[in-house]
Amino acid sequence: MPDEKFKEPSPTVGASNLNDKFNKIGKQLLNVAVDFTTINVTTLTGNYTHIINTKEQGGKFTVKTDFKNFTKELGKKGGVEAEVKLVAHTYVDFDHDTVNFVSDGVNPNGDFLFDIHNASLNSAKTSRNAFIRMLKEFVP
Amino acid sequence: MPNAVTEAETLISEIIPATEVDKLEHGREAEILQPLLDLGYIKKAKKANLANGIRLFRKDYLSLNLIPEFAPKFLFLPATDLEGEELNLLHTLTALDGDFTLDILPQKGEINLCSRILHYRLSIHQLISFGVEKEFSSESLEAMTPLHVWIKNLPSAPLDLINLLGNIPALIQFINIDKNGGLNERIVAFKYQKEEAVSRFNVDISDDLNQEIEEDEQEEEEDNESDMLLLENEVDDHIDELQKETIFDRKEDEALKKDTRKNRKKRSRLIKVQAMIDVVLAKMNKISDEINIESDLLSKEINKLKKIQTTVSKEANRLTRIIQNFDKQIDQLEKSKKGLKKKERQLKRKIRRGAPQDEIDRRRQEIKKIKNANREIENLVIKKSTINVQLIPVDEDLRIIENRLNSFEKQMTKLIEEREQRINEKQKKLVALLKRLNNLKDKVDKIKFSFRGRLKKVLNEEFYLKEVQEGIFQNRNRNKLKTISEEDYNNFLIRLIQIFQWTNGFYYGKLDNKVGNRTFSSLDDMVTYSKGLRLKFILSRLSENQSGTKGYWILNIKYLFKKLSDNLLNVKADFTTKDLLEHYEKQVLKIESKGKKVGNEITDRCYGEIVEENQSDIQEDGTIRRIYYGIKNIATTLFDALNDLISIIKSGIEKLIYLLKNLIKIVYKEIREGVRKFKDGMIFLFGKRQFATPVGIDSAIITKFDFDFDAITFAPPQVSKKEMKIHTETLLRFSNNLNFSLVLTGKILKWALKLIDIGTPIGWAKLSLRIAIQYKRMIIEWLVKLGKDLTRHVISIKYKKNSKGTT
Repeated sequence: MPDEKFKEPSPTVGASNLNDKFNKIGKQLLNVAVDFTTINVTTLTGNYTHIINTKEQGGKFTVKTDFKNFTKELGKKGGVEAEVKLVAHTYVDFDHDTVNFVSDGVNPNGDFLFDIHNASLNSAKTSRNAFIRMLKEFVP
Repeated sequence: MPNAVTEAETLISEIIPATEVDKLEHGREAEILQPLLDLGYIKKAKKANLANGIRLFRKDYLSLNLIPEFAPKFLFLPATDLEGEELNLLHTLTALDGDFTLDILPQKGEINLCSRILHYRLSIHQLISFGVEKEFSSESLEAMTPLHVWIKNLPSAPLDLINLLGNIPALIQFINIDKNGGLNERIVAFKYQKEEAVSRFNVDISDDLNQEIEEDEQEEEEDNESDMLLLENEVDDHIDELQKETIFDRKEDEALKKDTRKNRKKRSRLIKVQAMIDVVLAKMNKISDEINIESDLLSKEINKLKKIQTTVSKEANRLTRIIQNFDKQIDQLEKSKKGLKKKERQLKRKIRRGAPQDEIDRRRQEIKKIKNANREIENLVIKKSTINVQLIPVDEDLRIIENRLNSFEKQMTKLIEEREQRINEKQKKLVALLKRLNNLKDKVDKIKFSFRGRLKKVLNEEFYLKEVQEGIFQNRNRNKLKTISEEDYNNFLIRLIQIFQWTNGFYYGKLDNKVGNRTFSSLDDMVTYSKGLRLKFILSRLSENQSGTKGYWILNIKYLFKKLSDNLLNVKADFTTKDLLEHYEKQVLKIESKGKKVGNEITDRCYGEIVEENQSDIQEDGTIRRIYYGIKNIATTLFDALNDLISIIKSGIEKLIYLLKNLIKIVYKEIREGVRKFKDGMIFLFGKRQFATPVGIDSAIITKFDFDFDAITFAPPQVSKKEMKIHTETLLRFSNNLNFSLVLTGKILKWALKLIDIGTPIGWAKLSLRIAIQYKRMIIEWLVKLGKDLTRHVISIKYKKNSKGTT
């Protein structure tokens, strides 16, 4: 059945359509007014299983809500607020001044949580640099 | 917020259509499997083996420091997939263009990238019978011993020899030097594989060759080489002269020159002359078309004027008719006035004789009627003069139109006369040119192409006379050919030709030493794109029976290698894939700017076939085969052939199919790898940037980045070390791979906005090609940073002290 190997030609994306899309994206990116001078990285721990849905997609968990509403969702547990503790918070200024706050005795697993915090921090820094490089390419 | 996410996904899928991505992704796995098989990282092309093969490959290249630190952190990558940069490296390692140099020999007992590449090259040349994955041993080096017997002056250092074996153009050039390869005292012979191998073989060449053989066999005397050369030169001079001639205006002349340039590389003078004849004939047709168009235009103008004339004369006629009507009425009134006057005069006479009162009254009435008639006549005369006034400009118009028509018709007659005179002159010139060309064609026909003459010319005289002329042609000694065809060096050379064609994109089959149909047609393609190379001089056949089904082919290897050295190997510019893609884009845009479309039906079909062939191919064991992924040589060939290939794509006619497939293979691969990166970048820009790793069955570590890269992470207290590791690796993979994809995305967005600015529409074809070019540019910049010698595209392995690769 050689025919099966060939996919139908894909529907052509209308050129004007693509132009519109790119135009939209371009404006969106050029108009962002974001603060790239500082980075705030926060790591929290606690019980928040009610926000995670483990049933969906054949046992794979999904996060029900977008993170932006996460803290809001945390408070909804039958009227009783979930217990959430701060593991660490890092503030990096544009001149690389860094302020670290690390909680004491969050739990016996504190080391792993702190490792995760460091990874988030590294990841945030690297991503920001990549994004700035992109803007350099992009902004005329 | 879910809406925003869906919106972002929709946006990305609209810009990068899923069907296109699927089409391109199809077959990527085989592209990974093949070189992994070639280097012995896996034994069978099974998906299940992929992860282990990739793991071993990564371990090897990392220990050799082949991917720099600022590159994506490949260790965090999925186990069963390679990054574009890794795939690029893998294909470079298995290339045979001298792109990859081994700097150090493996230690005895080692199995690592070096031992694998070394064994791979030996197996390409059929020098080892053991597997590529075997540990490095004295056997590996001993495998090269026969080379020193066949070829003199080879580098004594095994490493240099291995690198020479991995650089096919250099190897051919080396062997072409007589004191090295001894080709001036050698012919290559091989037996017919099967009857159909010849009969199925491209009809033209077969006929050519058969005719050639007949001619050769009829020849009783030796060729008069010098006469032939003189005639050839004469014909060439004629062709040059004709090409210089200006018969047409500048524009036409340029088109003609372009046409003949296109045919420059065609394989014989006959074709060249025929092409010129075709151009002239086409011009003649065009001229007669021009006459028609011109006279069409003129008669249209005249028709238009005639229509106006009709309308205007209609109006004039109408007015004239009205005037005539008035005249009639006036006439009638005058007549009745006359009657009335007569009556009145009779009454007057009667009254004078003393008529009664009623007679007097009647007379009065008659006088009144006369007065009325007079008044009416006056009115009509006034009306008539008004119409007459109206008629004056209409008449004037008519006169003008008539004048104009007259002058126009005169003009047209003059124009046609002039035009015809001009065309006649041109046609006369063309007819003369055609005559000259036909004469030239006859002359070309008379040139005797002689395989034997050419063989004699390139071989050592004594060797030719004794061994070839006497031993083979005169005595018809097939045993001699049989002996030659069984020699190891003979087979090494046949293999080398096959490898050369393979690495140049002409050959698209297995490397099997069998000179089959594919080899023949690839030779034909190669001849088309090699200046001065002629198939008739390369191959000849010596039959054993009347029907010509048994016998040997004789290959003039010295001539072939000499020509290859002169042409294909001495390429001044080293073309990269980037150059090729840019050239491709330029051509495609040129066609599009003329309002035509470069359809992707044929390219899609080619790609589908490549994928299919490759997938079935890698399932077979043993032979080194399949698709060649090196670039340098192929890029050079394709660069030359690109215009022809594009017109093939445009017309949808399948020609030069191996070359075309090679082009499509490269273009689609680069588009695919570029689009992968571009998509990564787009997902980052417009995706939700949220990462979650499950912890146990009902919890998870979740990290969310906002637009200015502030991050917030939730991690449950019961996180294990394993879960922590998975999550950190996910985060680092995400951010480390961003550099490349985001810069690419930025460049593409900038390009797109520029096009929008000037109002040029962007379609997927244009976008994807641009992504591929930009991606390739970045890869090259990246390699420059890596410190690799990009002018020669050479990457070389330098061992780190602590590297001891084992499996």
